[in-house]
Amino acid sequence: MKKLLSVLFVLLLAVSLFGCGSKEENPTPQGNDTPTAEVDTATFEELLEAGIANGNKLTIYTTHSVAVSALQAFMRKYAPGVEYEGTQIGDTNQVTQVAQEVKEGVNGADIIFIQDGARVLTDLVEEGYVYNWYNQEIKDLVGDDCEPLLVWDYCNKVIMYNNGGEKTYNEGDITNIWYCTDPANKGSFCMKDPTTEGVNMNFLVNLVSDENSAKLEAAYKDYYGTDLVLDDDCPNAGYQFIKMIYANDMVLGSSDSTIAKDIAAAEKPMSGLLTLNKYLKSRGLREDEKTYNLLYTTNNVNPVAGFIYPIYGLQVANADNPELAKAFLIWLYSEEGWYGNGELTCDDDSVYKGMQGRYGDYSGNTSNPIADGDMSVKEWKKILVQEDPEQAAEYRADVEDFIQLIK
Amino acid sequence: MPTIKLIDVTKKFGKGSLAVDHLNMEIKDGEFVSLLGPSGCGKTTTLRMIAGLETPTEGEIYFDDECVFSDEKGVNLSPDKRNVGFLFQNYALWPHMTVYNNISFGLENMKWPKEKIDARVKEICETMRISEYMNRYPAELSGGQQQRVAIARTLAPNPRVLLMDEPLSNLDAKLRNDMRTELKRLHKNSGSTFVYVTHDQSEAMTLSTKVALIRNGLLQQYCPPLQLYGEPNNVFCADFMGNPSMNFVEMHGVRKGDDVLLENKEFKLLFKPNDPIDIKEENDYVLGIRPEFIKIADKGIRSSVISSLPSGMETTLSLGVGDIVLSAVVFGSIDFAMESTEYFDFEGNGYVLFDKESQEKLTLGSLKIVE
Amino acid sequence: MKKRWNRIKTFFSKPYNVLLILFLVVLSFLVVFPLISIIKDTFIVHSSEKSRIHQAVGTFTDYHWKRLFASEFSKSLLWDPLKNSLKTSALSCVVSILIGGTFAWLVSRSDMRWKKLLTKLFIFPYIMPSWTLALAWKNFFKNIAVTGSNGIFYSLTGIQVPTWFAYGEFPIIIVTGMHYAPFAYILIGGILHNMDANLEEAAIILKTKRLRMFTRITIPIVMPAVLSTIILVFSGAMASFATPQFLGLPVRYYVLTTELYASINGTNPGVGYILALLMIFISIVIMFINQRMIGNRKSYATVTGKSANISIFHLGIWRTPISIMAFLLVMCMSVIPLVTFALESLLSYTGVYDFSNLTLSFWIGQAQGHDTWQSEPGILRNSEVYRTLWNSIKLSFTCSMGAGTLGFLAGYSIVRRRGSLLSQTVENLTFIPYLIPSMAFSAIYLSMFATRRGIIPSLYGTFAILALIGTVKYLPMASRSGVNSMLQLSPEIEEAGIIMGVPWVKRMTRIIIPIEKTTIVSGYLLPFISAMRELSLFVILVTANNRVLTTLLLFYDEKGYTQFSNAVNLLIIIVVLIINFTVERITGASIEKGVGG
Repeated sequence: MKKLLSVLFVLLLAVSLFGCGSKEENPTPQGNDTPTAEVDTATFEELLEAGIANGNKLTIYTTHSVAVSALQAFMRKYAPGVEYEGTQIGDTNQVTQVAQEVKEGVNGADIIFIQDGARVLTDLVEEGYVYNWYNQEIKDLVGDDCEPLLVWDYCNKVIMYNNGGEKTYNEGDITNIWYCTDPANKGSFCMKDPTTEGVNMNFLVNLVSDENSAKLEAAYKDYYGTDLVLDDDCPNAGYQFIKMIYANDMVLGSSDSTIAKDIAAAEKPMSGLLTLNKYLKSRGLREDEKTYNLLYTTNNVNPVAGFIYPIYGLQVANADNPELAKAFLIWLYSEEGWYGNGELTCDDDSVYKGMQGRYGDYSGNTSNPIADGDMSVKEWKKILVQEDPEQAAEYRADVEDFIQLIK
Repeated sequence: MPTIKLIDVTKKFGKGSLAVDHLNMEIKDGEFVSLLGPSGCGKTTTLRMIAGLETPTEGEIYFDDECVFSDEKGVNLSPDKRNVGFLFQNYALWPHMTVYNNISFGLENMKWPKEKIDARVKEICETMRISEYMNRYPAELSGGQQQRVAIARTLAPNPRVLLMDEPLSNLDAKLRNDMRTELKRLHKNSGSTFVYVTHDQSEAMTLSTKVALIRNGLLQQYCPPLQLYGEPNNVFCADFMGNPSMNFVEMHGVRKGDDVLLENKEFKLLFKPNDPIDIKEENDYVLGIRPEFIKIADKGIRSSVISSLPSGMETTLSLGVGDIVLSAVVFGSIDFAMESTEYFDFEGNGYVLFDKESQEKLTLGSLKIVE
Repeated sequence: MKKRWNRIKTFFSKPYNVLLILFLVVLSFLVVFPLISIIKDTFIVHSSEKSRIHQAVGTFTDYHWKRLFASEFSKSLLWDPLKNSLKTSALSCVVSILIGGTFAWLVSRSDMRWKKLLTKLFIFPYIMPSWTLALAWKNFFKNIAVTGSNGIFYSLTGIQVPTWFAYGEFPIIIVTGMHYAPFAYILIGGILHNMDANLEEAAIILKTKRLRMFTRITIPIVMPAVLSTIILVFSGAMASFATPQFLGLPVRYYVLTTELYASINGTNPGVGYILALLMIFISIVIMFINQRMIGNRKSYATVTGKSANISIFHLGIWRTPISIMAFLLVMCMSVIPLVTFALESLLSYTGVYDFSNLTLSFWIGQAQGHDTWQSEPGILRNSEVYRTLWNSIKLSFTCSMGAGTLGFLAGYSIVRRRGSLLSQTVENLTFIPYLIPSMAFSAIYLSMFATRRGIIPSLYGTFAILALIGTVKYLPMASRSGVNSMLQLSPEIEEAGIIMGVPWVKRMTRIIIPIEKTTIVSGYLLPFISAMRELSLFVILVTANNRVLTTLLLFYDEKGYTQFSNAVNLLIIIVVLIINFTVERITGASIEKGVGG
């Protein structure tokens, strides 16, 4: 009885406190005041001038480290004297943080660079915390990739495999994506856990679209020589594919780097879907290439060799310095913004090199050059599944539920 | 029932500190022996060495002719093979077992048949008058009840020797008295050998058939309690026994034939030994006078009453003679006025003469006041 | 009326009553409020759930409960992870109690060699961030079947461990068990150390065989310590996230926390909050069962006493073999992980274990640009590392001051009013934070304090919110130690001061604190160490300005900067060890005293 009383008492107390706390209504963010139908005509110069005049600190959140050094290079050159801060935050944390900050009216980021279009659309854009903005200058450079969300940087995850040994894959071994469902490759296909990194989930979601599903169905016949027979719980070939990779003991990892190392060092044929820059990182590490030995597949995988997903550049609803944020965004599409000009420096006085020499990063502005030996986005898009954030947003829950049941 | 013999038993703790020093004693079958002494004197250590809970550093211990410990022969019988019972000061009842289980546990160890265990537990609970508590846990019992349970647990397997470590020290005065009677009765009924550690001289006096008085690891005197009281070996023994304790008066003595003429600045006494002994021509002595041997009289030594503590049955007096203060016991319900003047005399022949230097007893004798 | 007023006045004239009321109000806000907030979260639509529930954000829904308990997903979302969680937590308890208990017995009751060294080292796993032990396990035992390559163990022995040994249930149990073994050692060792030797001697005299004595006397008597170890380990193991994530994910072994993480970070946080509630509920049930089992009848108050003469068990011919085994165990638990961290931080190229491949570059080298293998300066040259280190120390210090002081005051007032409803309520309240999984706790604090609450301004992104959550989360440890230390102190000591008219503050500072100095300092030490190695509590509350070492470590780890992450890990451990041993040397306090009292 005493216990019960005490519980009741405390509950009462807490409820009353709770009451005081939540009476204060939070202002709903007014994010939708910038219609995307009309293209903004403001120019880089105008925005820059307005941003400097505004004078507020420019804060960015990004999933990509280069955006942080780009911010430093940009601010040091164009807006000296204005404070700035760049923070690298992973996509899921960024979604939570931005939503929280805007909802509660806390001054957080002005602009975010974020992947996982599906979550960005449902959690941030639809709620009005973040909006898609571009001006004519950007539109001219980026074209179709301005909508529904403006692409800053394309990244790709392609099938990579170990090679160069008797116990590994060899170049040309992987020609059909269904290889990872093959019992011969049981427990050798790796992927970063789709439930912890959204872009991977989006890829799986995109696979169940009618178009991709049809491609997969055809590829199945090509690989196994028989028509695909769907299980009862699989509505189409995309689902069947997902079910089969899980059933084939797919190895889930918590970081691409670790998976890359594991694959490279493996003493059996191993492969996985990894960001392409892991490949370059693996090269050039050491002369004798003793540590990493990775190769990536390209155009001969039926139907796709992986997926390509954008990192979007989006405006935050309660930005302190939206003008400067926009100017920075525009600048990022310039060659100077993408690669540096050999003179711009970062906070540690090192020269800003941007995306120089990186595989697996492609500017939304397709006219920006790519690293030697890499392929252009256009070519990649042909052999990869391109993230469709709208389709992913719509079906994500279904696919997650599906995986929940089969995992 | 065995005779326990300790031969030259020594126990050192760590380096140097001597807990028990070349102890020799024999505990005869059926005796109730108290190991008495101030705290830290080594009495508990001795008891634990007999039980086998402590390993002597040197010496031998025999139960009858069976050697249970000998450092030379390398014998060290473990406690469970010595067939002793041990009653701990704090009872050491297992808190997670009921009274019944506490008692039956040891019997189960001895592989007694179940019915026999049950019968024995019930019997001993009956004896110890704890039958109604058999299903309780120790924490639910009072101190006295816990004590009975502890005794019952110890007695249940009928040990040939019962070792007890200050078992009554945690009880209040009334209970303690009751338990004393009970222990004495138990001793008589069981006929076992009891070895009992205490620091309470009256407990040792009232209970034991023999008392071993120990000081700093050394055995001072080992004899029946009344002998220890009446004929203490030295000042320490004399002082330790009795309440109020013996009066010690420092006196200078000169030989007068077979007698000694004792003198201090307040009074002169002629000490007459009961048996003739060698007496030095001149010596410093300590005279031991039991309070009950001082008799209030019409004449004698003049003293003033410093305090009077009547207890009904007797009255304890502090009498001042100059600087010297003497305790005296007067039987009967009498009170004395403070600071009144009383005369006293000496009677009987139970006065003890100690050598001042060695503190050893020289002899017993009678006293006469010399005018 | 006057009478009632007087009664109230008398009530508040006692400082401990004032304290208890304050604790009640503040803790209701900081502890119960979050609980209510979780409950509320299980009934509303969150923004990421729109695509599955198709209702506006914040609408009331029973979707989450239905989905978790009555849908085709129940099995994979709830029952399987629940089963795995219960199993790993329970078996982790067994492992930690076996390892810790055996070690405690060897240290306090046997003549095992090298006790001093071994006891010092034995505490290490508790100081290390728990998941680093998991990483070490993975580095050591990874096998070709899952990762494609073999770990250090294979390169040393040529033996390839089976998958069940390298990943999943088994290593999760072992690693968690090892992490908490020091806990068991401290708690059980404390009782063994104080246990009245007479209880065992009484059994010996009654001809009890060694084994029977151990099972029927020794074990039942250390049972209360074992049971409290069980609560701590069980709740801790169930709430641990990183270990099952690292060791379970590769073989798709899920427990409640990994499911919770996936739900909260994924598209169904509502379900995640129910899982959090469920975990709290299970912990509370375990706690109640525990209290039942200790029970009132078998009071163990008689157990502890002065034990001048603990009988040391002589291991005989087994002495050396057992000592060596204990030594090896401690090496495996405490030293080898450290060595692997050190080694990994010294490798130019990860995975190549030869001498020519060693470099100090990741400790003291200069940054070599973005695309090279060393994109950041060595950690001892890195201003970011120093800033983070300083922030970690500052934060841990603040949490330890907060939790330690409040814990001591809570302990004081709880003990002084022991038995009253108020005291009991406050005591239970102080323990609740231990039962709330860190991740859920910080998620709630994020939403609670992001906005202004009454007089409390928005704390989002501030140092204050980290300090606050750390203080509340570590309060259970500190108040436990506070209660223990106050129980040892008889109230007469303070009453003597009251009679002489010494005011309360002076009584505390001049009488009680000096007497209980070491225990109180120990009460501060534990929160400090816990905060230094905490990750999951801070990870979503930390922003770039107030990063702490563990989040930096995680950041490096996620980036694949293995050498840096290992170096930072080692740095954390070294800092904690230095502070621990300095405090121990100066004040005589120690973690042991903090836990065991």
